[in-house]
Amino acid sequence: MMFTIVDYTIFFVLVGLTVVAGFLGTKWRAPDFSKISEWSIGGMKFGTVIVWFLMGADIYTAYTLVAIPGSAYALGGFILYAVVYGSISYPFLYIVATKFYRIAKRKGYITAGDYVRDRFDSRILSLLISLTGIIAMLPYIALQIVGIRYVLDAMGFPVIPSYIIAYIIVAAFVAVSGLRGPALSSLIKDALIWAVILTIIIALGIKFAGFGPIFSEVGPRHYLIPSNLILGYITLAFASGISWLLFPNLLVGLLGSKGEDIIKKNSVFLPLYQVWLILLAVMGLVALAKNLVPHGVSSLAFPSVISAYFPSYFVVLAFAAIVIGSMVPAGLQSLGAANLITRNIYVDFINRRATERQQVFWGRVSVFIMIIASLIFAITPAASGLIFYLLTFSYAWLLQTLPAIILSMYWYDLDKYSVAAGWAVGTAFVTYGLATVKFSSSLLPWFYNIYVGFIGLVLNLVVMFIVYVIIKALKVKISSKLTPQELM
Amino acid sequence: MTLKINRENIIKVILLMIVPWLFIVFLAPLYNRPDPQIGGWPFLWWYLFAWVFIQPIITYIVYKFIDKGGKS
Repeated sequence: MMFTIVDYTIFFVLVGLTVVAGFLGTKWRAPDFSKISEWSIGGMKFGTVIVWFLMGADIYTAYTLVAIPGSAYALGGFILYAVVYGSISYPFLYIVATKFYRIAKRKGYITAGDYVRDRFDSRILSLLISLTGIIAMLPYIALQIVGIRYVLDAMGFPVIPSYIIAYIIVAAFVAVSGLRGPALSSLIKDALIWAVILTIIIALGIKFAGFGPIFSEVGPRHYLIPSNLILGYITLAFASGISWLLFPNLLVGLLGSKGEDIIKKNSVFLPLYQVWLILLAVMGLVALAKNLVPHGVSSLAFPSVISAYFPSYFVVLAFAAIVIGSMVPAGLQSLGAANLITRNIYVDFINRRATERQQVFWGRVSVFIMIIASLIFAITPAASGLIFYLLTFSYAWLLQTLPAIILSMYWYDLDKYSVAAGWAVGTAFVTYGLATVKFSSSLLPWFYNIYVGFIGLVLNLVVMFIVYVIIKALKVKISSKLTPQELM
Repeated sequence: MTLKINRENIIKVILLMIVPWLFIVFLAPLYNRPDPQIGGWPFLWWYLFAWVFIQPIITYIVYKFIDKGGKS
């Protein structure tokens, strides 16, 4: 497809506006950046609408735009697990995120590591949990970066210099504005993606008579979940659906809320974004039914459908949506990890008397560290092939922090030894399990195709409970800096 | 344990955890079927599409009538 000067102008205006919004965040609502919470979580001041856009930008990324149609094209009905885990995540957040928010606000926590350190009176356990979060963000950011490669190629931009320019700009606006930067730019990002997806679906829905014929063309063998993968589908959806609070990037958005009520309202209104997932999956089926994807490369399903049915000025809108949809989430992911580096490595281990100004400074440096590390990952050929494996890895690893972060809020005499033992066994099993399938899949073919993270979590909980009983029997003294009242 | 075991909390756990887990996760073997269709959409697909809207309505009911949303 050839693009005109007008097309390039539309593209650069949209991406440019998003970047400008990111930098303008620094002036938004008179922030006082001598305070770490003002920079890192926007001073806990955002209302329902901003949080709705911000969390939308956090959860539904360029990766979603590319991977959902791609998987629907390649795997068919199995991809609906992504719809399912989103749908169960929001009501679960209604319960657990409001509680975490209440504790964090009372005690001035900014990260899950802050909570774990006080809850178990252990900097080491906090470090383990924080490192899991930091490591999980790396492939996630790298994936956002490589996600725009197709767009860069199609528009004739040099790939590697474009990566570097785009994401150094992201690091710059996040470093300058903190959470306010991605929050402001998320307004443009989500509005644009809503417009793009709804336009595509209305136009194609009319063309294909409400998609009924598309379903008949691909047939039940493709659009249903294969029966041998049903346990994989259930365990993957369930385990992913209870893990959102454990993601550092989602936590910054939740803690940015003005109050618990904002989180509750958003667990009613955020699920509206789930409409995207179903519609994107249907696009993948269109790509298959109409045989639109060159050489069957599934990641090209989304751009192929758009290029086949829409004029070039609309194609660039969709391309801008992919690029913005990768830049804004990458900003939030680097911010989530930067908060962990600052609070749970720098303050807890390097400079225990760090002032708030020093914390803001190191937060800003850490954003650059995360973005540069992810760029190296994305650019190095040997490493870029590893990104997808690392991602399955890190999701399953993050899930193993569930007892430390979520269970511990409800179970007051849960101690650090039990949690640490469970975490170690769960993490070791996940690593071993993935090694047995050479990191090619997160479902284990030698165990009914069950999700590796789910089995890890079950083992984790079993070991945790056994150690808990032993600790109780031995009457080992346990300590916490939080009282039961502070955990209410 | 700091969890208050009272009627309201039990209803909340049922409506926000048990119900969605059961109907959209664990019942997958039952809803993974092509029929009955609506407008050519297989049952699996329109059922999950419907739950995109059903669960938020349930969540809203919890927010409004159990938590007396906005006031507490």
